[in-house]
Amino acid sequence: MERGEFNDLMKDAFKDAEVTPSENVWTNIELDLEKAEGGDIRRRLFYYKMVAAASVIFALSVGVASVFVVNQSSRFENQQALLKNKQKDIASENQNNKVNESSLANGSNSVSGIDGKNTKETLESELHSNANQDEVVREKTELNDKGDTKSNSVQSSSSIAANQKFLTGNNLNSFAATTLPLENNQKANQTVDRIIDDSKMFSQSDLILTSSVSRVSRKQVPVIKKLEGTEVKPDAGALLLAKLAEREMTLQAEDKKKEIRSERLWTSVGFAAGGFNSVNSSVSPSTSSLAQNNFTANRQTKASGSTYSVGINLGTKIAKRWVLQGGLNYLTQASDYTANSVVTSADFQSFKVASSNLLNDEMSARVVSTASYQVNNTLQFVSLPLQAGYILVNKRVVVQLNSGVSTDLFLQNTLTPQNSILEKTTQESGSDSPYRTVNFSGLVGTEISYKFGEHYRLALNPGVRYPFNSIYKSDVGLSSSPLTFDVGLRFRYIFH
Amino acid sequence: MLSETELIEGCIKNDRTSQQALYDSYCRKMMVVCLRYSKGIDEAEDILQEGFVKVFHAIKGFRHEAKLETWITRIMVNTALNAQRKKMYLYPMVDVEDLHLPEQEISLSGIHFKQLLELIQSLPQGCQIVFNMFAIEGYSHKEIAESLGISEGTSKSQFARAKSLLQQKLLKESTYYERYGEGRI
Repeated sequence: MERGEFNDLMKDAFKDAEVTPSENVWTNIELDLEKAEGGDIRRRLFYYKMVAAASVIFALSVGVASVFVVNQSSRFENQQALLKNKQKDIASENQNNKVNESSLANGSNSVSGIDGKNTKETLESELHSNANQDEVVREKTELNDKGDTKSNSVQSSSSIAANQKFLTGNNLNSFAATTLPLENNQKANQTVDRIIDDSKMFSQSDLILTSSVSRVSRKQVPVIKKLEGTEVKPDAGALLLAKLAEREMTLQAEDKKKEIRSERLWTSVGFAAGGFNSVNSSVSPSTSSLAQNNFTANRQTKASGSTYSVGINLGTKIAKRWVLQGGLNYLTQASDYTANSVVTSADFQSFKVASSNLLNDEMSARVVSTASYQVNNTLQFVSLPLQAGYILVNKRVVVQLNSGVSTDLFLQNTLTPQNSILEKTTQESGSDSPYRTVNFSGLVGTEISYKFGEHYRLALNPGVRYPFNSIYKSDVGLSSSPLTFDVGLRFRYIFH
Repeated sequence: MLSETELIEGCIKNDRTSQQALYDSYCRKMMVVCLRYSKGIDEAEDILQEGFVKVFHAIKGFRHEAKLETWITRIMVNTALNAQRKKMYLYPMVDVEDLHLPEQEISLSGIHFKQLLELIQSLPQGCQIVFNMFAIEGYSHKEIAESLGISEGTSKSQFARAKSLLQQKLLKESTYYERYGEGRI
């Protein structure tokens, strides 16, 4: 027998052969497909989780970095302010010294037995020699380890200190006792002490501070020169510096006020899309005595799906880094589940999609088992979120962490069967609905926004929503608190 | 009634109704394929289930180069072979001696395919697979050898033995003549 003939015989024998498999096969195939789709949803949810986690980590990293930078800059500002205060003190002391010098010059003639001119010359020569000695000693004791630049600047400073100290020394004191008020001497003593302290501090500080010290030192030089000269002129440069420092501080304070006042009130419109996961849902075994009822209720309750929301929000800044925002959103949550039964009307003329609330024992008589079919369940809510936000980065790009609560008012749910036999069913909130009318959810999220123009910001909001209680009424025997991950896009208008 | 193209498009979109319609269209024919490669209904249904899940997952890649039925059949055969490979690992296929029965004309007219199915299912594992692949699916011995990881000679000897066994079994089935009368071997 040829191979071809044998093949043909066999093929012919099985050509139109058909054997009907059992119904379980399709049910099992359906279960396998749903498992695989559940895997897809889980993968999608995992993706959303990763996006949310990445954004939170990013925000935290930026936050930590910004806090570090802010601390550094405030430390620097404090040091700058301290320096400015010292400069002011020095300027005012210069004024006092000038007054003293003037008094010294004018009062020398009134001192009996002392030649004012000679005394001044003596004092000046002693001042120079003492100052030079002091300089050498201080260089050796305080500035051994410093570089040339620092040494020079601090040397100038210590030189001034030494000179100033000399002015408060015995010679000057004894002389001043006859001509100058004691008060001025005490002030001069204090000033010199502060300057010496500053010199020590500056010698241990960084290069920036060294340059500041250099400025102070340079400023002090004219004082000495004036002492050496015969004419005393007001130190206009020191006064100008003091005024500039004061002005700068005023401007900085104004800037801070402006920063707090900026973007105080805004409104935004936006939408969000994401997914929700109901894996923590449960069905009480006593929900229904019928197996297919429990099957449907189980599928409906544990269904995961997608969520969308649109809405408007209003926000205000309550502190430099704290904001408060609330709004009104329309929220939908859609999921698909498999049902294997329908519910008939009392007269058995019409059929409804099987859903959790229709599958109680009273309705069992009207439940008819059917082949499996898909049902889309869409829940609609009005959501009133209220969130507090902490601004981590407050530049053109703002990174903000938000947390708050949302009051979700259930409107209705629509059951749409994926076949042409059954009609769409809508269940409104109320006693017939298995869903709670009011739910409270916790909200946690990140907001990354970009300012463009004077009044506009575009914000991206990845976030998580978790109901504090089950969205089902407690008496229906079902429990579900779907965990929602979504990413929102908001367009913000800043009033002022 | 959805056309084949609409069914495929629906299945690509994971539309359960389309998937069920496709299953309903081909499940009975595919059940026969699965029965030919298995030893009983339960095993065949397992293969059918696994095969259709693969069909729905792979349908995006269906290029319309072959008939949909042929494409689904190929997936079922591959699924069945995968299931049988595990057994073949334990009981490797080897060259077998022919029964050297006299070559006789075989007429299968009047034989109900279910009778033939029972006979095929009663063949030894290796013979059953090679017989199905060679005689019904139309693979060459070379293709069978490559597919099963055996030599071409083994494939030939397995087929020869399968054919002999079938002849023998049909001869012994006296009830066969009583039932169908016209069947001759």
